[in-house]
Formats: sequence, structure tokens, C-alpha cells
Amino acid sequence: MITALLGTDHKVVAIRTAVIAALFFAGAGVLALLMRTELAQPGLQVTSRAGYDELFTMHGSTMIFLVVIPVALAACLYLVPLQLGTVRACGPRCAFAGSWLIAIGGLVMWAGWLTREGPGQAGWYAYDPLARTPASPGPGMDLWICGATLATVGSILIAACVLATLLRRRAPGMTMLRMPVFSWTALVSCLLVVFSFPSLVVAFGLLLAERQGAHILDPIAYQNLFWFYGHPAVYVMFFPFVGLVAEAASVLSGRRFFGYRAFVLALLAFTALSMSAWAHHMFTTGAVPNQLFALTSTALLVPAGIEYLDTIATLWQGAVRFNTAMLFVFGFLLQFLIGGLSGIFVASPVLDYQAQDSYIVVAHFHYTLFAGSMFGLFAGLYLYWPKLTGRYLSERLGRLHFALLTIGANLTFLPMFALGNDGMARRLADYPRSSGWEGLNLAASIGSGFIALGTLLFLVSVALSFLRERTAPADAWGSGMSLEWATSSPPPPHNFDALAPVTSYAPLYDRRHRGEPPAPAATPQPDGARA
Amino acid sequence: MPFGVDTRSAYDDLFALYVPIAGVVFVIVALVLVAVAWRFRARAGRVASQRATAPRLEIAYAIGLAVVATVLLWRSFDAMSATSNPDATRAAAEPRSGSDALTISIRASRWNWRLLYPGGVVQTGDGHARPATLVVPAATPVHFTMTSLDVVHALWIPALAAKYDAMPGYVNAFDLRFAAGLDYSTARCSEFCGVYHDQMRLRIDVRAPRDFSAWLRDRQRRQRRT
Repeated sequence: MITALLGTDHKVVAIRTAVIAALFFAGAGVLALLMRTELAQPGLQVTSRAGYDELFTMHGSTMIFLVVIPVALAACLYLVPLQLGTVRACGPRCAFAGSWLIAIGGLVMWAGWLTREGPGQAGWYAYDPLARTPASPGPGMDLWICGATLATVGSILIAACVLATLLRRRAPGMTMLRMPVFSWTALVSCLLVVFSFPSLVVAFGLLLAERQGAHILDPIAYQNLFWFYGHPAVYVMFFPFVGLVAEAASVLSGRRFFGYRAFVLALLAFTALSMSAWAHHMFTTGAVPNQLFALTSTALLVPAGIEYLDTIATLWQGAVRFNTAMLFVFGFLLQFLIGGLSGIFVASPVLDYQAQDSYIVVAHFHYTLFAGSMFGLFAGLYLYWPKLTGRYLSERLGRLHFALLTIGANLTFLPMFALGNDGMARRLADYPRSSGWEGLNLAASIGSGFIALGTLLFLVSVALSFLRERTAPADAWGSGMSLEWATSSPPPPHNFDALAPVTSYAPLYDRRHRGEPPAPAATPQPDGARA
Repeated sequence: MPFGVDTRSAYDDLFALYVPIAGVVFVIVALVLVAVAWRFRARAGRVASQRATAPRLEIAYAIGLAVVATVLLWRSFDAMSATSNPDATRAAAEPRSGSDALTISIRASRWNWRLLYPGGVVQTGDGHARPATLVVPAATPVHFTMTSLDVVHALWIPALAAKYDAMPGYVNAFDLRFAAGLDYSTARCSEFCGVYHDQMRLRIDVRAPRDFSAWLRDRQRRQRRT
């Protein structure tokens, strides 16, 4: 218990961060269900207008600041040292502080529910001047700004530790171009965090000063600062899940990841481009060069497409095992594609004039974040659960979980494209009966119930797994590629008793094909040599 | 910038390019995944390929993607120059020089629109249930300048696929042409602006040019009398 709360080992910190994210995920999920219940019919039944504004603000900001970004970084912090053959991550106390800053930041944000005026209700991007005191009075908004800033600082700390580990703590023989694909996705994610997240800290700091009476902000300056964070941030919520899907595709099809060098190049190009795409959120302002940002945003389809090809080509001519993890890989590939293709659509200004702030955009980013990234996360969870705990998750419950989530996600988010194209704006507590939007909204609301059921089922499955024996061997699927599969499940605190020589980005695959065991037998070493 | 443009058909044309391409890509990927499930499922005797790279395929694929991106951008830029883009940098408050086109100034505020016509004519609503009515001539270019008195708002006219932000301290300028016979009932503020955001609608009344001129003259006359 004390280790779980205060431990600084990278695996302990990562699991703690993931558990914190899971708790906030449950909270944000309840808020989403309340919203969908309110929107199932025209009229106000469940909440008031201000109450609805609190729901969508807290749902969106919780999911981004406290769930998807933290869980993405937790996956990086857990896996990167294991994939690199590292005994300890860099900056363990720094990562420790990061995980608790996320928890404290989240509690500060949610403490707004205890104030008379309620929590933040200016939307997750809290535009200036809406987030100033006249339009958003009360301490709940201040708490929201402070909490989101703390959580973001926490994310920066964790990312800095992972980045330092990637650059400084690789095992002997592990050159940059022998790092497994997940570690590469972690590297680019952490680069984005370290370079773009400070912009949010600045924007929210200025907003807080503005609320104290300083007259320093301008609406366009704020939007530029916010989206300079906000746009790279969406790829921090994407890359690590692509990495998990890539690992699952490779391990479960028994193939080396296909097109490794092209994938790495595509990731780096994507990262560079994604730092200059932010103002496509501002096409309708008339204060940014729309053509430039349409160019950078649309160009992203080239590296993204290469990443897709490489993942699918890894499955092609493999010996693909269709367990739950692979089902989630398929779910990710198809559903994220809908998110990605609609992303290319909204990158074109003339199309975005219609889509921006409509349900088209709501559908688009839920296909990327929920039907995409969360499915990628589940692919990774089913794949790595035996590594994390030594136990397997139930395949039967897993299939049901996948079915419920797939039905739920598509029933919820597909109708939103049609609603948006028909003129339904986002962030509306109510819509007129004459609009003819009842049927599609009701379908979306029913879909959210399926998502809730699927998520509950996953919790049951997790609980049941702890009743089972620890049976998972080091190489839990018998076809591991990189070093994390060469140590016990779960790994010991020092990660490795002995290290296999690193001969490529899939060292275990190399050993298997030479007929060698995954890891050399541990040889007794003189005291202290291990550290 | 051409004056008085058809934003709706620019949107429809691009839509007819983007959505079919997206559909084809989706179907291809889905078919490939079905083929994977069909042919490459792990079973006794199935051995995974050891090949890890195919540079020619990868280069061809990258070139294919770059070609698609180029076509999409080229058509997007075309559509942009054919429509009126938002412009908050131009000296936008000035009426258009060398043109006797109608200019309407819009002042957005929570949760109301004030529409200022030449001759001091003002159309507005009550900020709650009764929205302002924008009266415009059909099939005629109208020049707009728009700003906000408080927070950021956005004017969205779904029937025209048009959306422009109204921001305090900035004047956004754009041109629109309203076709008669479209359903304008969903026109509204689309940038979240606080509690009554959902009620910040705009009624649009498109009249034949002659009827519009008569209406405006009548309103100007009444304005002078008061």
C-alpha cells in the first residue's frame, strides 16, 4: 500500500498514474451519461442550462487533462524502460511528483463542484473573454484553471523523465534505430509534451491574471497560445496508442514490425508538422493565414498514412491470432480511420466553416479519441495485462467487452456527423422540437449506455483476473519481440536479472529464429554490479 | 477576392470530392482487414512471413499519399479563393470602395444580434426567446462587418455552409449571397458564449431585391421621423 502511494519505481508510478486516470475516467463517463440523457429528448429534463455547461466543460477537460494524456504518459513510463533494457528510469522522484500533481490537479478541478457557483463552465478551451470574471464568476473557475495547470505541469514532469530515459538510459547495443516502435511513439509524444505544454501553462497563467484584473489578454493571442498546446496535445493522445497497436499487431501476428525505418521517419515528420498546424482551430477568426494551416494540416495525412500502411502490412502475411487484443487492434484501425478521414475533411477551410463547432467536429474527435485511442489503449491493456500482473484477462468477457464498446461507440458517434451536417451546434443544452433531431440524438444516447455497460464489464473482468493464479511466463504470448517480454511477469523492481544482447528492434524475434531462449540465464554477479 | 459568392456550392463541390475519397479509402482498408482475417489467421501450418520491409511498396505508397494531399489542397485553395474568407485584418469597418453594395454591420452580444443597416436602421431581438431578424435581398451580394461587444460569438448559417467569428476588438469582414428557398431556420451562434448560448438564434428573411429595397426605404423613413 505504501509502495503504491509513495513508490518511485517507474512501474509503480506508471500504474498509480493509470489508476488515477481510471478514477477520473469513471467520473467523466458519468458526466457524459448525464449529458446524453439530457439530449435524448428536446427540452430540459435532467439539468439546467448552467448545469449542462458544467457537465460538458468538466467532461471534456477531465478526459483530456486527467485521463487520456496521463494514461498515454503512464503507458510510456511503464513500458519504455522495459523496452530499452533499463534498470531504472531517469528522474524517479520527478515522475513521482508528476503523478501526484495530476491527482491533486484533478481534485482541485473537481473541488469546483463544492462552490456555490459550480465548477468551470467555459468549455475545455476556456476562451478569453468568456473565461474572465464578468462572464464566468466564482472560485470554481479559478479552481478549474489552477487544477488543469497543475495536472499539465505533472504531465510535463513525467514526459521529461521518459524523454531523458529514452535518450540516456538505453541498454548496451540499443541504438536509437534499434528502439522498439512503441518507444519511438513515446519519444515523439514526450517531445511534443515538453515543447508544447508550457504554452498552456502560460495561457492559463495569463487567464488567471486577467481574472485578477490585469488587462493583458487578447482573444486571438489567447487562442494562439491555447492551440499551440492544444493541437500537438491531440497527438500526445494518439501516438502512444498507435505504438500499443503496433506492438500488438507485431506480437500477435508473429512478424517483425513492417517498414520500421519508414515508420520512424513518418513519426518524426508528423511531429515536426504537428507543431505548426494549431491555427486550423481558428479558420473562422479571419486572423490567421488559413492557407498555410490548411497546408500543414492536410500534409499530415502523408506520415499518418505511412504509419497506417506499416501497421496493416505487419498483419498481412502474418499468423494472426484473433484474441481480444487483436479485436481491439481491428477496432482501432477501422474506427480511428473514420476519425482521421474526417480530420482531413475539417483541415480544409471551406469545409471547416460548416463543421467547426458543430456536431461534425464532436463526432470527429470522439472517433479519434474514444473509438480510436481508447480502443488502442484496450488493445494494449489486453496485450500487456499478463506483463503487468502475471495474470491473463478472460477472453470470453473480453470479446463481450469489445462487442459492447464497438456497438456503443458507433451508435453514439456516427449519428453526430449527420446532426452536425444538418446544423446542430455543439454545447447546446437544448434543441427545438421542430429541428427533427430527436431520433439521431436518442440513438446516440442509447449508444452511450452500451459504452457504460462495456466499461463496467471490463471492471468485472479486471476484478476476476485477480482471483486467478499468476501463470503468465516472461514471454506471455510466446511471440514477444522486444525486451519487455524477456523478463518475468510482472517484472522485478530492478526489471531484468539478465539482458539478452540487442541485435535489432526485435531482439527476441532474432533469438527465437536462432533457436535461443528469450533471455540468457542470470549469472551471479558481484554485489553492486547490477546497478 | 470576388464579391458575393456562393459559399454553399463551394462547400458542396468540395464535399463531393472529399467524402467519396474517404469512402473509398475506408472500404479498401476494411477489405484488406477482412482479407487478413480470412487468409492470415493463425492456424496449424501457417508460418508468418519474415519479410520486414519492402522499400518500393513504401515509396509508392508515400507518393500516392502525397498526390492525394496535393489534389485535396489544390481544390481546397480553389474553393477558398472562390468564397469569401473571414478577414479580421483588413480595414474592415469601411464600406466596400467602388461598390454600391449593401453593407450590414453585426454587433453580437450575449445573447443577441444587433443588425445595423444604412440610414440608421437597426434590427434586434430581446436576447432570449425572440431572436433578431436579418432581412436580406435574394441572390444579391451583401457585405458584412461583424464584431462582438463581450465574448467570442460566431455566426453560423448552415444553409450557406458559412461561419464567421465575432470577437471583441476585431472586425471580421465577409460577403454572402443568400439564395431564396433555402431553410435558414438553423442559423445561430455557434461559439459557446454562456448560459443562453442555445437560444442565441438568428432569423433570416430573404426577400426579392425589389421587396427588400422597399422594406429598407420604409424603415429608413420611419427612422428619420423618430
